[in-house]
Amino acid sequence: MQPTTQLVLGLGNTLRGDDGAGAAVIEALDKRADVPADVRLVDGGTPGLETVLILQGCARVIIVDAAAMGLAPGAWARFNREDAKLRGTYGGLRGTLHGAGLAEALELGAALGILPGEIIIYGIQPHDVDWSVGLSEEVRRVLPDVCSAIIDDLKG
Amino acid sequence: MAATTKPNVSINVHHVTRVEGHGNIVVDVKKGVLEKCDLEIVETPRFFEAMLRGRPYDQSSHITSRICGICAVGHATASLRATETALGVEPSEQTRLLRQLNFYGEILDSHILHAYMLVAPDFLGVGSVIPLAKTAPDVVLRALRMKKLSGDLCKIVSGRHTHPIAMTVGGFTHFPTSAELLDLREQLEAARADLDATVELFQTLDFPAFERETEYIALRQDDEYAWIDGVIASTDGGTWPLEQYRDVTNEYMVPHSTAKRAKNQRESYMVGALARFNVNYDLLHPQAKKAAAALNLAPVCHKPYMVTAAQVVEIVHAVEDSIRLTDELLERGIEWEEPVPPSRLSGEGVGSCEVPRGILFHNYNIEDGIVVGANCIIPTNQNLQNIEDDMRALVPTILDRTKDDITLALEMLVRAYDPCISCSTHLLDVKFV
Repeated sequence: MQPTTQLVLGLGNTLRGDDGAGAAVIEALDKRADVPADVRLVDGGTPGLETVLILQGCARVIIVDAAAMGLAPGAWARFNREDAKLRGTYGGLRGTLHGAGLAEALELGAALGILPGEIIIYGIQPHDVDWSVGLSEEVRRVLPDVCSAIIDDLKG
Repeated sequence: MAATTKPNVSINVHHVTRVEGHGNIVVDVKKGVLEKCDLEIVETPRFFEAMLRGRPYDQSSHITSRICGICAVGHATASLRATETALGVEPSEQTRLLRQLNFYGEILDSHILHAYMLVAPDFLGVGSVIPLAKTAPDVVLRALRMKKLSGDLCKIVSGRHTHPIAMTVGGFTHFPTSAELLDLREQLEAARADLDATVELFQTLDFPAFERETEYIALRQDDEYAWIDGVIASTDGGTWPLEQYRDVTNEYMVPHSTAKRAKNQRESYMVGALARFNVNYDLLHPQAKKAAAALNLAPVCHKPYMVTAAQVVEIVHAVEDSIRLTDELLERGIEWEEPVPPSRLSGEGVGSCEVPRGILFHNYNIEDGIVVGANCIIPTNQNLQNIEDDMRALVPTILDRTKDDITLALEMLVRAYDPCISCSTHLLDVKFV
């Protein structure tokens, strides 16, 4: 049976400034009326190996996270998984597993053969990921555009 | 393969992989004689004991749970017991049951990660869990599934997957619903199939038979396999009340390590799953004893590579006892109890738990509600000298192997202990000369 579910997965730590961007996008999407019916919205928090289990059974996943891309704060970009350069933490899965992140979860998912057929990643350049709750003005300002782009992907 | 009987072997493993934290193995053999055999801990010190000083007593458990992401519940629980002992707080029976159930969540999470993803790859001839995922995806999926259940257990009981936010001095600030406990019970029962598969898998692994007579230290209680509270017990004989923990640990520094060492009745001792198994075998759940028999593990076992087998036994025990606890909590019905308040605001207390890697001590001095002194002795600290003594005994017996094989044997020995190196480097005494 072909999996038909779409998943939008927001990642990041809401205690660390703009690292809460992923959760903010999920919250914003949740309030919109134009999200298709077969879409699951998940605030995945800080990712670990178990993140791969959330992806299992989906046809398409859109991952949203703050990302260091060397752009101006608030700038955002859309990547296919192959184009995104995800840096592993602590030497990846050959180092220690106590610091596994998104890169490791995707690598594990690929090895297990359970990754969704389509993986899209939205990165939002943070202004600040210091110890504070709440987004910067630059990031808050772009949330509606990011949401609209995601909805276009979900309908496509 | 013929090799010289008096070889020169020089091994320098920089940052052993598949352990938590950073440690190096340095071995130097000249003409068949072992000259140097060091486990260097190079993790930076983290100053948690100093951090607690000046903080209100009710923050200690939240701060110390941040010592580690995998033993957060263990630190928080030991911390709470130290504070409660110091300030005259007797937790209710419901609190006791909830804390034990929460504790099992962490034991399961840690042991499953260690056994499946840190140790098993060596035995299955792969470098990490990634190739294992390709050749045996159902094994890895099972491990992830069991880990997820453990995290969900902690979330239901203490509010989060990691860092038990709902645990506080005297009790809890949030409680699971009956519906959540029922759902948990169903998942735990379903996990029995995964338990059988786990025992079956680890039965096929060829644990090295290396043996060295060792003293094992663990918590002991009269009528249950001890995880929280008890007396300190030794396989060499003797028990000590918790307040006398220093008589057992005898911490000291060595030049090549940022983490302290410990010794009791011998030059070193071991704590952890194998120590607990050796000290408390009689109190294991019957299913866990069956698993031990299947894994050829019987007390008193002096084979350090068998720590992983003891962890599998404890995984079985933890799931079975969690089912029992969940049933008991469901039968009693959860009551929204206020935390028990302190009966005084000054005092000293020692709290102790058997966290995944062994016996943990938190010792606090509190004055007028403020922490004025703290001492934390971590299981991995207590194991470091034993690991080195094991390496020192092992190397001369395997000098006929290739350098790569000797290195692998040493790495597997360190990995078997499941060291949590970040936890163990929490203090440094700086001497300016």
